[in-house]
Amino acid sequence: MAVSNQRFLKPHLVAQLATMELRAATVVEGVMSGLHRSPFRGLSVEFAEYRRYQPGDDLRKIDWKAYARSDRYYIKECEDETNLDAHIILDASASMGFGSHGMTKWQYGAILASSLAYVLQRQNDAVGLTVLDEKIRIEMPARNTRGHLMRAIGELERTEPARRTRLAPLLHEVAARIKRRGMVLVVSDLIDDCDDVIAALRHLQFGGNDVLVFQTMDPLELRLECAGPHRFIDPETNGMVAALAEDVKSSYLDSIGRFLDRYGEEMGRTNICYTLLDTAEPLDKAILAFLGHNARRK
Amino acid sequence: MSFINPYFLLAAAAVAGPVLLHLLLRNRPKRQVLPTLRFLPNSAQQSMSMHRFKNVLLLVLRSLAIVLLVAAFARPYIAVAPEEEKKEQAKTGVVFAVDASLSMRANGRWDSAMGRVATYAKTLPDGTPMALILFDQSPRIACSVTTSFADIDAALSKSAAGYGATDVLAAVRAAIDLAGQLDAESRKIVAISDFQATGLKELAPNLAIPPSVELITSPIDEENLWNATVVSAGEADEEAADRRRVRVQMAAYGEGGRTGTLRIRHGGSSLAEREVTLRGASGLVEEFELPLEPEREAILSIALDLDDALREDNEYAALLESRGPLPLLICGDSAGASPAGPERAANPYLAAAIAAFGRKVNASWTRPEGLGGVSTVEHPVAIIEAIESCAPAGWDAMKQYATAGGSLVVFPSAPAAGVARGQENAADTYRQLCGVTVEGWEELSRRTGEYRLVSSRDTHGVLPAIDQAGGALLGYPKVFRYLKAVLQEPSESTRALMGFDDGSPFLVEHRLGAGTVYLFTVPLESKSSDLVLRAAFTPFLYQLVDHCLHEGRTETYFTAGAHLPVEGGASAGELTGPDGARITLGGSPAVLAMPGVYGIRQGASERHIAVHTDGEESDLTVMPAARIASLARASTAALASRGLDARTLGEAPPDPDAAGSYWWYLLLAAMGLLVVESAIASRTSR
Repeated sequence: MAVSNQRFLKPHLVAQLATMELRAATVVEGVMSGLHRSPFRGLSVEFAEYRRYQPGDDLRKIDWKAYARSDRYYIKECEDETNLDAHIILDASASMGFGSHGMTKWQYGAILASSLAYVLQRQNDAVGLTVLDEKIRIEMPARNTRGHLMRAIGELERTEPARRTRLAPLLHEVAARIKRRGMVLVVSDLIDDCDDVIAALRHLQFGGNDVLVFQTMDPLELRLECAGPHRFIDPETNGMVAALAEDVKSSYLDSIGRFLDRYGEEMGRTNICYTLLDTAEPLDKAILAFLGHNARRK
Repeated sequence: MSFINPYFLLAAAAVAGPVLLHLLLRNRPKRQVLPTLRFLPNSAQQSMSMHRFKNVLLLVLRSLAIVLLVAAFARPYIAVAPEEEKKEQAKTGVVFAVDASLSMRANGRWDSAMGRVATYAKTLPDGTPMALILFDQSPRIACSVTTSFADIDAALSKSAAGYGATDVLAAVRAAIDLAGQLDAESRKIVAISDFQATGLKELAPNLAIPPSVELITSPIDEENLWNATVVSAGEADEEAADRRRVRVQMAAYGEGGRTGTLRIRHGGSSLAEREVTLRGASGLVEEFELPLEPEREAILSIALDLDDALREDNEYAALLESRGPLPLLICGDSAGASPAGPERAANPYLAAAIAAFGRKVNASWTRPEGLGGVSTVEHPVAIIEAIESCAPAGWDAMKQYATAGGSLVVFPSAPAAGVARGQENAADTYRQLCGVTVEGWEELSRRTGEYRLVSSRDTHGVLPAIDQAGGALLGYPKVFRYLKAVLQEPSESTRALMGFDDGSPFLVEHRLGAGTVYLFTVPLESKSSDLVLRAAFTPFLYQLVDHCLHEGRTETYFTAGAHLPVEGGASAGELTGPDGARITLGGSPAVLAMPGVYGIRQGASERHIAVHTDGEESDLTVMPAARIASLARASTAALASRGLDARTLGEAPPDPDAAGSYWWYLLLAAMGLLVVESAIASRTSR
């Protein structure tokens, strides 16, 4: 197990992640102590405020020292450092199996997801995993045990991208299933109808979740760096277009640019953390850039 | 279109170069997975189609440029008809090639040929271009291209079968050339002939019938044909100093008879005119006494006018030679031979004969040794009365005389004289001079009545008059003593013209250089034979001299003077000569002395043969039309194997100047294509 996990948890990557904290941008519910702030006042060690006793309050929460000084009953409230439920949603459609320079988008996204899950598990957050293509293939609930993390990583190891994409409907379905607010990390190329995907992400956001989107794109998809006659094939639909690359490149870059800009604009407007990842860029650099960005946001 | 340098067209194979390069180096579309396929523009497919189109266009331009360059160097040309001939083309043009050789005189073949032309012409639509070629051994255009059959008919009416040989192939070639001048979509050659096989047996390898020309053969057969003609005309005999007798031989063929007029003219004036009646398959001989001096040469025009046979210009020209005395040189050195004159020669029989010749023979005398310096032109015939009595120097002179072209008539010396003078060298003399080996004298006993008869068998017709007269003329001379001569090697140069009834040679002919030596094996005296005592001796000697003067060379098969080989024994059939004379064919071959057409009846069958100075013309065997066609096809194939195009036969030859102007256009077009190709290739690469 340890050997196979090396594929996604590279030692040098893990070492770098161990020095940084991933903090959730929003307050989430949790029962476990952690780095995340909880909206519930409870048993954590960090003092929040005093409030007057109300009938029905737990008598055990009365601060007797404050009663001795002011002869009034006060309830001492603390900001609890609670655990976070992080749901990692990974797209495993056939389009994710494409890679023009040795690493496919699926491999890139899976390493990214594993790394994030590892970091979350280190800070005692519960991590859940959902793998989907045209339907939900793998669904693991959020837990904060190391064994759970290893099983999730094992599932990623065994999964091969195939079939067509039904990203938006399935995101709606996942949003409906998440009961506790937490963090949702979506790793996908988002090659689907932009409006539908944005609507689905907002559905996730409406549940109180902090939504982070990692759009993985291959450099060929981003820049179409090829020349000569080509027979381009869509891996999901098997549609084929024969074209002279240099003749269509300009038009293609315009279209793909509008597509990506649209995602960027819509997610910025809805406070969804959106990161476009080029699979040609080093994976660790991409993750650290995200964590840095997340820390600044906090 | 044709090409001056057709071999350059082989370079068109270079087109394969750009085609191969195109196939090998073309950019096949690379298969590329692209999940973002939806973002490719809708015009993507069009760009690919345009890319393919440009590639194909470049290939076509390059190939076309090569083809144009090759065509330019092949120097194409188009045979263009002259402007004035650019009328609306008729569908079919016809060239009539009509045989006018001697064989077409047989059995009305010429009339049949004219009828064939008229019959065929009636089937042609108005305006059909046509032409007429008459041919025998050489073709001639009797009527150039016309659209009126009246012109053809007029030309035919003015013509007739002559006396020439036949060369059908030359005629077909000429017809092909003439057909090329016909302004028509297709061309036909209608060859009308009796198609004698011998005239076609040596097919020229260059003969080829172009695909655009159809050869139609119309063989003339002997069925229901009739014709008549003057076969020969010549002097019959000498009658008087101021008159000459001319003998005209006519022949008719076919069924029925005809009546016409025979006219003889000389120097623009009519000498004689006589109505003659000719019957089918028969001959007719008419003799005329004409007021012409025998010593002067005269050319007679003899015309036989028949309504439905020969035409008005079918005239026979006869040459009457001047009949001066025959030159004769008598050689002998016997004591009795007197320089005073040959009539006083030692041999009394020879002297008597010369005296009897009178003005017919101009005899002179010399010694044998003097023959070496004698002109064979002035003295073409010499008689050696006793060869063995001559000195060796005389023998050398005889050989020199004969080799130079003289005719030497040699009589052996009587045995008694031979012993006296140099007989030891006689054997060599006979061998070298006469081509025979002598085995001594054959002595027969006159006392007991032993003798040999001179036979006319196997004389080969060299002396036809003597031979035909045979024993009757000679009176079957009896020979009691003769020189036994054996031909060294029977051949064309040495042969026995006449022999005895036991087969021994009586008269031997031996070719020596340019001349001929005739050896009699019987001495010219009465003890050896009674030849010299007979009345026929003098005319026999005269005809021998006359024969020597005219050098009666033996012709080949079926030429005048040849023998007709007849199978079937003594009752093989009957031969009808051109003069109408009938000869029963027996064991001995019949002599075809006169030129003309002979009829041979053997049993129920009857056939005709033609006798001509040209042996091939005398063969009336018809070659089947299918055979002619196959020969033409084979010839066409042979022509093609040599890289020649039969279709170009008959076309106008290319004008080098006009042809040269075309190739510049092609070269400029090729250069233009290359410029366009470069521009498109440049844009494509960008």
